[in-house]
Amino acid sequence: MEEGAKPDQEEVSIVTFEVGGERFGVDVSNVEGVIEPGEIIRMPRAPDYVVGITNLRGKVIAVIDLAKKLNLAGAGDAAKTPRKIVVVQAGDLKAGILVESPDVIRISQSVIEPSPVKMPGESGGAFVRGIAKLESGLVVILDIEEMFGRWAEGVGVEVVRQEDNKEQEA
Amino acid sequence: MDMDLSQYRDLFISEAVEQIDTINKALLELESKPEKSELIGEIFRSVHTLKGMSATMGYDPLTDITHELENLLDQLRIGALPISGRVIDLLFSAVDTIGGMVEEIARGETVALDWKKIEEVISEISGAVEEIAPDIADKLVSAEGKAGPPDARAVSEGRAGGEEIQLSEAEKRRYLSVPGTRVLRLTVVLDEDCVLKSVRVFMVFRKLAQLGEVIFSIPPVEELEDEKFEREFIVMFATQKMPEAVQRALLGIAEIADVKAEKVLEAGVTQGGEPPEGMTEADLGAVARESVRKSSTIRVNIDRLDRLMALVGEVIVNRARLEEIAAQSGIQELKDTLDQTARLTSELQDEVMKMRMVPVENVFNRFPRMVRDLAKKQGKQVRFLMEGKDIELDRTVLDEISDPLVHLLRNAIDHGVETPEEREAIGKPPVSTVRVSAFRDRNYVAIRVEDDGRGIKASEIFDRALAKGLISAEQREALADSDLLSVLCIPGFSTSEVADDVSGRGVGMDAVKNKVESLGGSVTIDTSPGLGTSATLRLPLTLAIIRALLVGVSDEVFAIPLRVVEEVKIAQPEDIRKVGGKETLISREKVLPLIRLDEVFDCRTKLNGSEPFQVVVIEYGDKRIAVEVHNLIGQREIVVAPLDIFLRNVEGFSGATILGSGRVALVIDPASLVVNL
Repeated sequence: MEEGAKPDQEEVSIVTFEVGGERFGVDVSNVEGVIEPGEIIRMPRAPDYVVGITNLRGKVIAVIDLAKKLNLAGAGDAAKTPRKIVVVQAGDLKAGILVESPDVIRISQSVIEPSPVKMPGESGGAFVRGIAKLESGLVVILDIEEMFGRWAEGVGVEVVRQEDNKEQEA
Repeated sequence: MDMDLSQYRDLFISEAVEQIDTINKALLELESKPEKSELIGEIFRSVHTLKGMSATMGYDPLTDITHELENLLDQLRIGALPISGRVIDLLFSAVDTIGGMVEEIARGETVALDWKKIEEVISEISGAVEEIAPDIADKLVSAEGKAGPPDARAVSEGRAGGEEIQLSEAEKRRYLSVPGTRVLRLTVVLDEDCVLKSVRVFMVFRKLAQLGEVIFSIPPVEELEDEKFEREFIVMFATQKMPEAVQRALLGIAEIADVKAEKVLEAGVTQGGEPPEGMTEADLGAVARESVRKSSTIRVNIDRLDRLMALVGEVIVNRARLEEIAAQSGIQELKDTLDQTARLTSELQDEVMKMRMVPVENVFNRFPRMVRDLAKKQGKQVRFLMEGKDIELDRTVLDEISDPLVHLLRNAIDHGVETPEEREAIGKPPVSTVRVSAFRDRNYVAIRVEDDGRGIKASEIFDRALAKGLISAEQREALADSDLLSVLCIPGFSTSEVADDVSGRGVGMDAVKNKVESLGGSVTIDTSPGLGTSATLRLPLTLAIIRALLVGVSDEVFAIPLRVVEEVKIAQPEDIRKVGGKETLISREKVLPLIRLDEVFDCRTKLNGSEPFQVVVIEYGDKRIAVEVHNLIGQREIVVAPLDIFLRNVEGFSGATILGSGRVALVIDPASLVVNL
């Protein structure tokens, strides 16, 4: 299917959401779903960007405050405003991101440009796939595989990329 | 074609790996006991199976190499080629090549292989075969053919008397070497008015091919097919089936008047009832058991078992929830039904657990080969012993500890065992002993790797750690011998001066320790300089579902694995003593370090310390601690879900669980509580 279309005309579905006053997007293939936050249990000794853990239909997942992770200006009030959780996944890994006003958009690949500026924070933009310029504003497209990969790095585990996974299943 | 077969690929791989294991095991034994010729039969059998499987799957390179290997083994079997060190090495390298091919198949969709290497191995094998005198080789060819070997087989006039039929010694050995195999002499009589005799013969042979292996027939198959016989013919037949079953199967074919099945030979029991040479009563027992076990097992994909396990886990979670509701509702009937359900789910859980238990043998089996290769490479002489191979562990646990065990064994041989010269110089026997043993230890399975090598001098290890900058001079000063393991487990510490492919890549004991602890186990190390080292892994029997004590701290709930809970009690504030600035609790005249969970986990509310409080006494490894909690919630069976990889290095927790209420609770890792004492 993908082979036929020219890359610049290809449309992609992106789940967008707001964190710390900025709009982010994640490719729909990396999103398992958007859920209402249930009870989030604090995890002692976890890094500060981990809000806690929660029960996602019988599975325990971590809930992440992306604003803290990326050192965004609007960080700090994650737990206060009513929010949703976008469950992102790559390979076997899953995590919830606390967000505001999630949405799904379809955009042409061609509006996504390589990021001109580095994101603040420890990983310096490495997990930004690109910036989509839309009429409504800019959307920072995140590379979830890369993001999980970096988090997992310290633990010495390789994150299986989505494409690899599909091949194995075929 | 490939598409149709792909579903069998996993089955092929697991069976191939088993066959390779069998071959390796037999080869190792053959190397030390070349006179035990039945081993060749065993190897032949496995190679033959591999060949058949590979041909079916269309893995031509594998078929080729196993075919060549069969030829070589044939020579060995009839004694045309002596079993020399060179032959053994060749066989080992062939098996490695086959193993490599199977791995390729496991990894990729198609077999893309280093053909050059395979051709080398094949030509080496066939080269070895060609070295034998041509006349012997000719005999071989005829032995393989259906006409039967020239030796000791008298055939008289199309009808044969019982006494005249004999198997060659090589054939006897071959069939006797496979447990559960019996050789039957089948006398098949066709109906008097049978018209198409050759068709019936064909059907008989086709049926027999499904049930075992035709050794030869009287008259030979060619003559039977040409209908050069009256009504009766004899088939020598090797099978795992009972004579009656074979008989019944043949009588099911039309126009067969009668079938007699006589047992001529049986593996483990010869005609005279005497066990074959070298076989003890115990062996025979094992043979019998093995054949029984083989016939009553099926293969199940491990993913299915995992899924089943997860489902049972979910049922148990729901049961807990239902029990809570029942307790609130006060309906007696509901409670009774739930009691019944509880009993059933417990049984179900037990059964699923048992299904997942596999003997440690599955992992141990590859060690002899590895030890042999390592020792040979380093010019060391090692007697390798394995004990407790039938001890069972949860499949997941076993998979996970395979690498740690390999690492410990490598350590033992690389660093522990001395060269024969070194050993003799200090009055030790030149051959060292390395032992892997598994045994039950209460609720744990312990696996110990020990050697009688040079041992570890703790002070040398400490100095090396200091030289590498892994510890400071002050830390070095404070170290005692009992700190050896923790120093060995500093990430990046490796006792090998030079990194090589065998050990010393800087991922060492720390990886072993982390892995074992992540499974809820522990590592201990015992060493005496000059005498040897032993490392012991203590592992929980099963992983996923455990009994836990739920405790409340502030408004949070944590689970403590019940297996580490020694007692639960109320402590009085006056039982607290400060020792070296740290709080301890006097309990039963013992002084236990006191850990306050509300402080350790930085909980919102803390106890004021002036009132009696609840403590849980935890015993972990050789340490005991008192843990202060705010309240006890009770015992539960919980399903421990591992934490996501990026939360796994958060200290203090081994996983999380979902309680009956749907709430998540963290499972406390006792190791992290005792670690800094």
